[in-house]
Amino acid sequence: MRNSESSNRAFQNLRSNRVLGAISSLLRKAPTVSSTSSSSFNRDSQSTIRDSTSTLTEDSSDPVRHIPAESKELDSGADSATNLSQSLSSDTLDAAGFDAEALSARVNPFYVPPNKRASRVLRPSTLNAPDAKHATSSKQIPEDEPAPVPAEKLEEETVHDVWMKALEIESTGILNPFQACTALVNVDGVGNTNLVVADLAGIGKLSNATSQNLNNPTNMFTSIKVFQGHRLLNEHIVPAPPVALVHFYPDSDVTPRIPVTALGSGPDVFMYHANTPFQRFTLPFIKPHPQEEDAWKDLSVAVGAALSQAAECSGTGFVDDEVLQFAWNRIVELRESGAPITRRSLQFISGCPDMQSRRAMVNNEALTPLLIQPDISCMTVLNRNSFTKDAQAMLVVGTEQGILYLVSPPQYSVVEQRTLLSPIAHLGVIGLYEKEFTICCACRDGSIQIISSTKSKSMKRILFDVLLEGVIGLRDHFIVASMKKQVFAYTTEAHLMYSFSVPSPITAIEKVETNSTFCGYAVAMMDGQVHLYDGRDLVSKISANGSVCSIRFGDFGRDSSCLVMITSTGELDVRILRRNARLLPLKPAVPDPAVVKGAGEFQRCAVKIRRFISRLLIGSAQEMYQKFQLDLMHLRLVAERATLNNTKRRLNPVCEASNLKLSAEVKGFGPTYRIYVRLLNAGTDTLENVYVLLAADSRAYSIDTAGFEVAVLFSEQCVQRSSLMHARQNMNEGVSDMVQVFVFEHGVRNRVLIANKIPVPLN
Amino acid sequence: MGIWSAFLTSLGIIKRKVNILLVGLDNAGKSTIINGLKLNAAAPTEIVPTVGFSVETFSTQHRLTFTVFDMSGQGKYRDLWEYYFPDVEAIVFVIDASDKARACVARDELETMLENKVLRMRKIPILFFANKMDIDGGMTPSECSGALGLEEIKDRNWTICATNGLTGQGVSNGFDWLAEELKS
Ligand SMILES: Nc1nc2c(ncn2[C@@H]2O[C@H](COP(=O)(O)OP(=O)(O)OP(=O)(O)O)[C@@H](O)[C@H]2O)c(=O)[nH]1
Ligand SMILES: [Mg+2]
Repeated sequence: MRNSESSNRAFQNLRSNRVLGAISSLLRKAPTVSSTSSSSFNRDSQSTIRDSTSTLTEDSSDPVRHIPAESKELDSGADSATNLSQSLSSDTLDAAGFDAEALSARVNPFYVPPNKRASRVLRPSTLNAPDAKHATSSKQIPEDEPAPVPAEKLEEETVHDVWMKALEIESTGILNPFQACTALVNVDGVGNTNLVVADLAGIGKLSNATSQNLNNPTNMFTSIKVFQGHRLLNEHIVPAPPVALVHFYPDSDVTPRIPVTALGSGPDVFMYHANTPFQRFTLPFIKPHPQEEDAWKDLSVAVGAALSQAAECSGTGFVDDEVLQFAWNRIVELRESGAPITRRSLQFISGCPDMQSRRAMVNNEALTPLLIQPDISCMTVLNRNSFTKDAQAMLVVGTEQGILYLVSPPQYSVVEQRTLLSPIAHLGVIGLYEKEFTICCACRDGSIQIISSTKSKSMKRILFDVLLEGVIGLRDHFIVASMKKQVFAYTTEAHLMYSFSVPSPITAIEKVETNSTFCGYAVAMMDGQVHLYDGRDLVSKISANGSVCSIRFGDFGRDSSCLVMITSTGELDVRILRRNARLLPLKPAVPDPAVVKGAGEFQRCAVKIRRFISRLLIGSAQEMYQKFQLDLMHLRLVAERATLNNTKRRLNPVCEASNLKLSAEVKGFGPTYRIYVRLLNAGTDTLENVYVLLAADSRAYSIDTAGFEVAVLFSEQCVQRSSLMHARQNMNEGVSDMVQVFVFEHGVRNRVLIANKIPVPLN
Repeated sequence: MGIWSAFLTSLGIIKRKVNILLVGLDNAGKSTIINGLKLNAAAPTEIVPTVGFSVETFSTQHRLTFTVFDMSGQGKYRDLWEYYFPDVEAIVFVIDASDKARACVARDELETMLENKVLRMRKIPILFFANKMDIDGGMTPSECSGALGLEEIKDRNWTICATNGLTGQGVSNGFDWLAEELKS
């Protein structure tokens, strides 16, 4: 049972990824050299087998919890921050007049503002109201009713409540639905959103296709199908088997807003605009490993020499065996060191058993330069500077070579490029290109790598012991679905927030964002169930008529909030979320014994706090402490800076202490002036540790004694000080000709007592 | 309404004003239907989706002047509907009979509307138009009524008639029924 399940899954993995890669490489290679194509096919099928066996063995092992085995961080830097923050005294916070409630909300993760306490309580009893059919949409249901109805029934009722069956079409003609190749696109820019499926119909025919069929791409019927409601609106034959389909708006201001549908295939991205082929973009060649390149350069020189000798009838026309062996050794060495090598090298070292065939192969291929064509494996879209649906966006392209590209329209130039350790299988993004973004790449080796734009060097890698099925970026965290029925949530800093298991193998995962209030995700499973989660809470269950291969949420037709599911048999099932539906957790949140008391509220407190707590729970308390200190210091700095700015910019004098009198003047005609400051303690108390600070625009003046201390100032005592000030030679216009005088008290509170500005006489 | 104007109204010298709320999903053909009723106004060449709502006034031969609030049916504007419930004397609900897939959305909106507190108190009549009857393969009025669960409305008067917004066919029948309802 278990074996068949896992082999099923392996098959799906195979169909979705491996076969595609194999086919696309086949197609591209086929017209040129047939030997290459067969060998590349071999390679790919070999690796497929390897993968599927590994899945098998993994599956037959004990069902232990699969926590990421390794977590590497390539950057650090919180320590210095901690030290710094400790050196800052906490009084500054009070000085800035910091809101106590906001602070307690920050410091205490379980803090709930008093006015919100009541409404936080969420009860499933709302589902048990007399009018259960519309329970979620009506508002006046008593909250404090008990809930004696069994959970099963509750769930059933909510399912029917929240979703409406809109469309169910048994045969759409989609032969190979697959998540990465479906999208909901407003194809022609009017208010009617279409379902676009890049269908791999040709692949279905592959099993009985002969090899000569394979070499002729016209026999493949890979197409893009555009559905409007239930009918097929349009169908284009696409030039090569697709691996990824996305849509985006390439420009910011062109109206009407018509999105571009981009189809990734091999090294190319084909773009369709308003139902017509529009543009094509090819990823640049990748440079191979220098050692490999050298080896082939030597070989090509040798081949050239051998051929010219043959032309003079004095040689065999083949390369010397020593040269061949030397190059062979170098490449094998490289391969053993773990570096990725090109397909050509791979064939050279493993595809040719004897010297004879090696010689032939080298003669055939060595003369063409060794360049690697990238193979696109996945794509996603990153908005440039706005989160709105029709904002300008750019493409994020992942390749089999493990290189991630950021491609910016309208020129489609690669603006950023990162090399990862493994082929990229899925991508999720958070943020905006021009502000801050994080990309989560799920790789073929079962790891995720989180790349963030802010710290340019930062790249965090988490290795799973299981392959990954999908990644999506929610508002501030990533959801990673594994092939072993598990869902993980990671923050943008690569910290695990939570993980849980689902009942059946996951086939697809999709972001579900209805409006500003709900942002969750749907998990489609092999048994035809689709579960909708809000965080780790299950909020809705849907069952389809078969295994759901592809699931998309968004606008469909004229309606928003539609869930479009395509099953493995090509059945289309569209559900619409009721407009007034509220997605609430199906079961009351069971307090985790590990979680501290108050965890129910913890679920509903601010995201940042939740993140702290989740980090605390997974044991990185120290890190959490550092982060907290860093934030606190940051907050203090912000507050101090604001206060400083405020006092600096203020033109009118400040007088906090009524018992202190300041009189200051600047005398002289320049370039040298003298500043006189008189301080009078008019109160009855003695003042201690009073500082006087003189400040002027440093571009214009230099002050000899910029500050002095008055250790004690008795009642009725008057202190007079003076300082020289020189105007600088290169004083230009536009700088302020003011001298600022600050008097502050040093002690428990560094507060400014008096501040004033005095004009400098013109010279 | 003063006694004097009530008297004049009863004589038919001035017409009674009736507020009507015109709702339904977007693209159902609400604006098209109402446009066909404005006999005097020059028909605009093209009807664009309504933004928010628009108000049209027209009179019929039933001694009534209808003020129709033509609401937008787009999802983001549907919340506006309920603000008019206290002030209208009848509701016209337009259904796109050619769009079976959206019947469930229309049903959801109808149910939400009928659950509204204000409307539950006010037993005003509802006139359903199964619009776009000219399109082949569309639902008949009885199918519409089944799809929207109209049979379940027991607490108020309603009727459904097939219409064609483009030609105006069937619309006047509906308003005749409404005028009868409002007289009583
Ligand atoms: N074939 C046909 N088309 C119709 C009929 N009635 C309306 N239409 C078309 O339906 C489309 C939408 O009509 P509108 O009147 O703008 O719809 P609406 O309900 O006012 O839409 P919103 O203002 O967005 O809520 C227009 O293109 C009309 O031409 C009809 O009876 N038959
Ligand atoms: Mg309208």
